[in-house]
Amino acid sequence: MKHFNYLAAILILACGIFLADNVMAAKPSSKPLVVASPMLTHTLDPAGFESASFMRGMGLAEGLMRITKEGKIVPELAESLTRISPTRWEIKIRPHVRFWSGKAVDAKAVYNSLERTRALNTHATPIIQKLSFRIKDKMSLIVETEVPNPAVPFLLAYFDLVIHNAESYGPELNLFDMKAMDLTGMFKMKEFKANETATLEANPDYWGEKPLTRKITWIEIADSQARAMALQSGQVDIATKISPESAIGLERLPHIRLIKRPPANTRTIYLNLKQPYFKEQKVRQALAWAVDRQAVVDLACEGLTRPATTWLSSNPAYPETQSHGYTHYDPRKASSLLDEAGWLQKSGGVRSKNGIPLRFTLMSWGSAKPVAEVLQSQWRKIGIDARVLHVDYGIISAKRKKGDWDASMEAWSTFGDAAALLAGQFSPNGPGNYGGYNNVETNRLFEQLSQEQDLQKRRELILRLDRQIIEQTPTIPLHPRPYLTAINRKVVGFEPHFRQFDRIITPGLYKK
Amino acid sequence: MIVLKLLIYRLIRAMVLLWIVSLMIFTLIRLAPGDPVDYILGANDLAIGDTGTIELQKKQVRKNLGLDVTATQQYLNWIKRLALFDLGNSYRSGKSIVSELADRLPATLYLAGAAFLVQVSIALGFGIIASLNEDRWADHLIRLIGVLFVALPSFLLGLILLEIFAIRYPVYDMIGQVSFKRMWLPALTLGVLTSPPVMRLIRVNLIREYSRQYIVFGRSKGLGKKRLVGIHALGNGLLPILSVFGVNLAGLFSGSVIIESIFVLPGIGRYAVESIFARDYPAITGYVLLITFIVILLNLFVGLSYAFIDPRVRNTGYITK
Amino acid sequence: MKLKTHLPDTVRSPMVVSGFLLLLAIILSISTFQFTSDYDPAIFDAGNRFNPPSVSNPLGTDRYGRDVLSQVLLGGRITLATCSMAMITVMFIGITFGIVAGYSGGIVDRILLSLIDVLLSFPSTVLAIVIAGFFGPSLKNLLIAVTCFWWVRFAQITRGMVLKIIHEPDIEAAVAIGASRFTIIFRELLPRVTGPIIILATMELGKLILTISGLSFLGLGAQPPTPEWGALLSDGRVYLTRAPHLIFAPGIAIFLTVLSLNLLGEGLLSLNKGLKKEEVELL
Repeated sequence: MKHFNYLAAILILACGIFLADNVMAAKPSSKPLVVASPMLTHTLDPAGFESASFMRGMGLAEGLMRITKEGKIVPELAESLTRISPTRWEIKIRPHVRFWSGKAVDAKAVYNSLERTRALNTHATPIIQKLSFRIKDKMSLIVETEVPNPAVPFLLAYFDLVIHNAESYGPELNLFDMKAMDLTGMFKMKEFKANETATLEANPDYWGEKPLTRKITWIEIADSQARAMALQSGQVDIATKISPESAIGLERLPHIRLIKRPPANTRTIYLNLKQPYFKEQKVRQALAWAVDRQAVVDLACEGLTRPATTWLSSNPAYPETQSHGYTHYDPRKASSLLDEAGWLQKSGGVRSKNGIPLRFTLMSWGSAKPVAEVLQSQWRKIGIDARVLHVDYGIISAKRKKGDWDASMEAWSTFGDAAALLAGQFSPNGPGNYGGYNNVETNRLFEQLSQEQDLQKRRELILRLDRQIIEQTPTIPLHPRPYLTAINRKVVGFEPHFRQFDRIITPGLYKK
Repeated sequence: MIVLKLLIYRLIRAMVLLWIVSLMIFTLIRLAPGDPVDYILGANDLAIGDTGTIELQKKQVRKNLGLDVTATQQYLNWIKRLALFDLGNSYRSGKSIVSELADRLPATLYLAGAAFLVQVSIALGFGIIASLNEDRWADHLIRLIGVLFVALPSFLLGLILLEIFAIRYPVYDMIGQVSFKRMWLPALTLGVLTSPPVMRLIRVNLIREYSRQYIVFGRSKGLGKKRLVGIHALGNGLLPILSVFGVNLAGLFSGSVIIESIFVLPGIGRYAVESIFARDYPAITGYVLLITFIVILLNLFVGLSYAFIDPRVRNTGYITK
Repeated sequence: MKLKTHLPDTVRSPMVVSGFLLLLAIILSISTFQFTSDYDPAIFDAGNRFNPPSVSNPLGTDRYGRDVLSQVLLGGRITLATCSMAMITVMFIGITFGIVAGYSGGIVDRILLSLIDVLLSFPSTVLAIVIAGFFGPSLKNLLIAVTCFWWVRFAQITRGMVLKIIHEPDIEAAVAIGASRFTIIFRELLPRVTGPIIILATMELGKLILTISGLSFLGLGAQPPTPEWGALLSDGRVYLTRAPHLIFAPGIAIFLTVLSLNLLGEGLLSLNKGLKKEEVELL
């Protein structure tokens, strides 16, 4: 009897769906979308651990500013952001924006949201603690910084700073309460099953361009290959963060489109500059010239990214840097540099100097394993013996702390405030300066950059730094680390963003 | 009375075993290399390259994880929480391990249960056929198939089946919840591949049972071999196999790791493997404790079921020896 | 030894013969390759990626344009050598513990027996996961983990055999006339136990290879570029649609090796009277 009830309910439901589908079929845009991603979100609270960035990608949440797919910073919930003095900015809030609950988004709501994030989100703390907020009037806020900071627009566009209704969430973290969710995005969360599915419905009161799709189901599939297979079988319309190895199988299928936009990060070989052979600039340059970046991209990344000539060259805002540094493959130059430095090769073996062979260990982790293998094969051609060690990140980190390492690979984001990012990589205290690079001339340029307020001059200084650093090659740039999005060709209007987690869903997206 | 004594003895043993395992795990966590904080903040794609920012984040995370106190303190905290069935929070997701494992358990239970049914039915069916045709062609054929299946790597078969039934002829549902549509293929794969040893065991036991006195006597009374199988041999011949079924079910729980990974099932085995790669120690610990618990429970159950089924055990308190 | 007395039977058994020939072929091709080939896994060829099987590459080429047959043969050495080493270690520990438990009896036997009981009830993959989980995945760690629990089966069987043997009249007689422990263990027990245990080991080796390659497939064992079979299969997994030969080559290599060991082991087992069959089936 109980079963019969279920059956009846399912039948009625099925009829309903069938009817509704037929009625809606008149409009081509209303077909539901199914998206597969490696993770839905960590929590449902935008102040929770690594949650807001997912909500942005899903079209649930918005910030004051956002980053466009071209890499520009534009107002989102802010109407404008103007600089009043070197340390003071004014935010005007977009009028007539409402949370899902209908509550108006005004200066007070934005202030409460930002302060709630400051109090609860450890990830955002370092960003937000540089800024202090003050309500100016009903629809505007003042942002102040202790020191002049031209990067304020970028900081406000930080992916964890989304505007939410602080009252609805309460003063504590409210991690998995769907009823508490109150955001401004074009989609609303309808149903959420942690680690399984999230069902989203279009927000009828959205302030901006209304989305063409009404319903989106997000499915969590952690394994890249499984996401690719689900897309291939037609059970999924969009699959995000596909590894190049899985993507290449999809590329040949007629019903699938692969989005190949390289992200803004640079997979880089970090060299321990305390090792005697890496102290020599010529050895470092030779290593960099001996890398056939196109072959690395082809063999290890299935051709789905592009070579990076300098560390900054993957940043879409600095296209000039693509003509700096290691623009081509030059094994001859590499050989002659090594010869000049006294590392000589006898009968095709490993080069050596004073009886010491040119031999080191290159550590890789995550998806970098094939890259390490290709590099090993390329360096061997000019008599450099690189051992490959594929371990997990913690081991690399521990070894680096102890100083017990030669070379390792990592891909840091290159998008954002270029001055801060470069300093992070190449200034003596930079968290990404693993090798211990410390150069008087470079440090002087950093100092100069921190004093400079004129944007054009800052840009010139950054380009000069980029050239100066790549000449010394403290690290070897390779290519942006590819993670791809693949979509069914029935899906129209997908806008590839260089940050693959950002704005996956846009208003113009629908399924034919 | 003896049954009660047996129960108490077994319970005490189970508790001691659980305690030993927990002690072993804590020691291993302490010995393990690498800093979990680095794993959590390993995603540099999202990092803002600002001096000091990352150290600050690390400090925060360390504090949140309760790693900023001494090892002894950590051990005491850990034991205290364990006693309250609190396995801590996952490094990766920040969620409670108990709830994460509870989310993942249904898939594994379904898989192990369904695979067990497949395994037992295949083993019983073919085992009986083989035993009735001892040393004839049917017996040899079944044996040969068994040898072939035992040698077949589950990951090879799984991948091929997945390619066929999920992509070429999409009848298998790759996404979605734990349901028949999602589980039939992995359960079939696991069940078929693990059946040959059980099948051979059933065959051997039945053949031995046929030669027993009372069956010989029964045959002399004119009972057919087939009826004998039903009446006597199955009952007596399968009793010693009961413990094997228990061990097997436990084996299916843990042995499902590979199948879960291939079919991307949201089970605890795949959870454990993912946790290993993320160095999520609390999650690995939780998995091992859970499996230990399940195994102990199964053994307890098997041990006790003997006591109720077999009068010899009921009266002496011994199981097989 | 027992093996010798069964030689004529052995040659007649189709299982033993086919298993032996298959195993011999596998070992021969692996060792021939080891000594004659100048194959270099570090030479990549971007122009020959994912070639299907052809005359020059009988099993095709992989993502780096390398010959798959050579990779599989190279990996065969690693798989077979490590697994055989582990099996020998396991046998040694198992026989030692089994003889000690069976021969000394009493409290020693009790303790060892309960240890065996505990370990036997514990699923084997879990320990491997524990070790890989806390010390990082590597072939070495995996072998340590596997050795830690695998000896138990051998100890159990050995103990059973020892218990039976020491109650035989000739051993009891030897004890009665004052033969030393040493003599009894090394002259009587060890030789009679070794034969059957080697047969067992043949079958167990197949299981071990499956376990090691399975865990390597998950990434918990051998790490690339080590061309261990399971790791090779795992590497080829993502190219299943594009280049199926990348999973079939190592997959079939594992299958044939395990098959040959199982045929050999089972054939020998059915001829050997030293082991109670159902006792072995329980494994």
